[in-house]
Amino acid sequence: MVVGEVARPVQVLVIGGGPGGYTAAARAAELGKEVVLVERKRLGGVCLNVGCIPSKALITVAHDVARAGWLRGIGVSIAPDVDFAAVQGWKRSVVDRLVGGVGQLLDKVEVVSGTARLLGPRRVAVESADGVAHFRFDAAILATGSRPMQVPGLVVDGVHVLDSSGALALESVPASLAVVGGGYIGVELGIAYAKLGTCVTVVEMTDRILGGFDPELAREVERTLDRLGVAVRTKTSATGHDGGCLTVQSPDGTATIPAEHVLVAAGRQPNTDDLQLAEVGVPVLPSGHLEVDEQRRTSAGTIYAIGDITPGPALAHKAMEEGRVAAEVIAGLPSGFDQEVPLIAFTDPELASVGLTESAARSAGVDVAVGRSRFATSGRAATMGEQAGFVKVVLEVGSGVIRGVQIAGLGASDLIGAACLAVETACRAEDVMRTISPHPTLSEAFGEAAAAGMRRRERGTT
Amino acid sequence: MAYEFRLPDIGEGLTEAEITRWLVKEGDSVAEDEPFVEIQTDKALVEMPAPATGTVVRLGAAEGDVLPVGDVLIVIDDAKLAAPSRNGQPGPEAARALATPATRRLAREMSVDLRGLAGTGPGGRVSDEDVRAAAAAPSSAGGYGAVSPAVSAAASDLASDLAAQPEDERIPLRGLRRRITETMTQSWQAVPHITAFREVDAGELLALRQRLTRRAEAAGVPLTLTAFLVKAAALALVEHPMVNSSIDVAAAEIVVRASRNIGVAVSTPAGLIVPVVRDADRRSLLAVSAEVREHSIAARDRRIPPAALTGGTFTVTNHGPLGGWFGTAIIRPPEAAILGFGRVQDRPAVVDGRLEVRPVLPMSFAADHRIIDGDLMLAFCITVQELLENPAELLLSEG
Repeated sequence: MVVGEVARPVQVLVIGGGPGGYTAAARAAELGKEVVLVERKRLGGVCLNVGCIPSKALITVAHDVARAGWLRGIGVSIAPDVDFAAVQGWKRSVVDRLVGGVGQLLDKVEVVSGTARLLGPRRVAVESADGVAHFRFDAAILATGSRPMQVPGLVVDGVHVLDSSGALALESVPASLAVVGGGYIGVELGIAYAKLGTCVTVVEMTDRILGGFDPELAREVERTLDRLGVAVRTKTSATGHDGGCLTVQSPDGTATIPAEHVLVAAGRQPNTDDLQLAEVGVPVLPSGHLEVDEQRRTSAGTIYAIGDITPGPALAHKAMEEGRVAAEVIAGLPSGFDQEVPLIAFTDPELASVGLTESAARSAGVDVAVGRSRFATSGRAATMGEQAGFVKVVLEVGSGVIRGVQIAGLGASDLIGAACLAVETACRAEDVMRTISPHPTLSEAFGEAAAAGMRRRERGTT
Repeated sequence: MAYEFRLPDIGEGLTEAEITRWLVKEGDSVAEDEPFVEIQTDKALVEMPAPATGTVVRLGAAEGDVLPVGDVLIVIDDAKLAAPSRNGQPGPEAARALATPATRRLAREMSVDLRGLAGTGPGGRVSDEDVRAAAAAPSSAGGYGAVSPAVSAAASDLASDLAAQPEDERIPLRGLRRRITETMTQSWQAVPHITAFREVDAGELLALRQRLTRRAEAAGVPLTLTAFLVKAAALALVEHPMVNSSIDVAAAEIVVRASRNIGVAVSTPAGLIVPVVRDADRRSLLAVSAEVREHSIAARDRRIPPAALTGGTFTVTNHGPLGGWFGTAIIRPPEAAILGFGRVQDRPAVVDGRLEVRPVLPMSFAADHRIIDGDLMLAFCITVQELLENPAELLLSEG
């Protein structure tokens, strides 16, 4: 740090150019603030560069490759020949185009390359190849995101032991892959590689995979894993990788699993250790998160935090809304983060959930009725040969208001959008039931599940 | 299993209550519906019946503590009893407001706390109008905090002046006093008052009361002057229904009340309490007198049931007991008017062109000018005056 450095005044300083950071910066600029955004790598963050976007590109390719099997079954012979290096090239072009789009979104924002450290409640140092620059800000928004959690004994070397970024960048389809961690990231990628021909094993410490989701949803995915020949070892922990084998420990003892590559996907760790938060007196929770109020303000009134470094699911859409809220609060608008954050997994079938699950509602003391509609009864699902899954609506018995929706099935990630709107606007099941969905589409299932919920509610059975 | 019973809202937007006396202690057994605690709400002392039979595991507060609604009042253990989730205060997840994101933004803008705000829309949905109405009513969900920035700035200036004198006594603003503070502030800020004064010749009234007193006492009821005043007000309201109305700002409507329920202000050491005599127009003078008396005794002992304090449509207040003459009363929202009387005194009066000494009853009438204009105000006063100067008419309505 250069002593006596002259600090440049700026109204809003955003640290981190991921979905939360760039949304916050763009919104603050739109509201007339002078904004500097500091990014140490590349705009777009994990989501765009090594997360959501590249993984969805590969998942889509794998899904379509697997569809060849179904087509053969109904009389259409296609034999996919996968040039994985070319697929990776296409994936990179998608990412590059979207990163360019973020740059355009930030046309009124000054983007500074470097690593930021807080020096005080209004001061930050940004270190880059060119030296150190100091800024004096009226308000700062911390949006530094998260990184993969490390597993003892499994050092990510980028060759054999990979994190999710590495697993998305493989230039050829591996013969075998062991996934450590049965959360959505590991299961999504495990399914994608299994569909491309990799022999996949999922190792999970707890007693089931996809612990963030209703068990009824997770079971739909377990069926697919079974069908694809993916071995799932629960109550098992990985202890090391050597000579193409992963060593695991379970109540049954020690075992080895053949694994050309190991994907470590055991959760995410907030990036809060390098910010020098102690300098500004902002406490870091044991989990690495920062405590914030509804306005995303930390205990230091000038410093806001959003995204993966605040408690809650580490998801881009949560970060983006938190970013908008922080920017608006800084601009003096009456904003607050009080919405439901939908959860989704691009597994097979896809899973999506918004609001309360049945069990969460019951343990919170909400009297609920549940309605289901299975895609096995959907005309559109039958014509697509994708009949796994269901829509489940959780409604409050007294008011009929929809408190939560869970979906497993093809397109669940898109279908949940209507459910998010219903939950957020406090729709009643009857409102959904009486809304006409086009036929024949998968979207009809939401109305049917709401109707089933209404019948259950009237009968007084759940 | 242990059953947590939380302090419920027992009416009229109760937010907190003082635990005045425990009737059980930890380790005691208690039977369902048996009173277990005496609490002081805004207006009355109330004995709470036990929600279940069992052993008292824990008392949630000490005598003298003020407990917010929703806090644990008592823990009762009963192995046979499953904890019904609905009696527990819902967790944060359960307590989600039924409002769209745009309405929630409006609530933040107007400093209205949506938790506990009852929506008027379908399924309890909170509308923009509900939020605006709550913001306009400082004593409701908006709470004490929902004042304009200018007001709160002035209040904080005042607070720093107050802080400069630490030797002053500070009395917590609680219970009844706090309730009066809120209601009167709300009325003063929201209701444009107009007031009229009239002197009523009370000669006939005193004579009639004198004649009826013996019969009334034989029936065990002392016939008070207040009973005549309540009766006169109720009959005048029949003639002028708009005076017996309320303004519903949110709906942009005037609500003309079907019943004439007359509140009678009673002074107690803790502050004014206003018990209500229901359907005073249709009940006999004797019945009204008996109820006014019963109510005022119960109110002074702070033992009046909360139900007797609600449902008023008009208020009568007597500032005469200590010799008061004319006074300007403040309307109790959502009522539209209040009638005040002073003490009857011998005064010089002009009768048929000659100066005479007459017993005079001073009357003041305050009305909400949003609903009641000057002509209606005077017409109502004249009707009351005529009834009191020809009091036999008050007996015509005996039901």
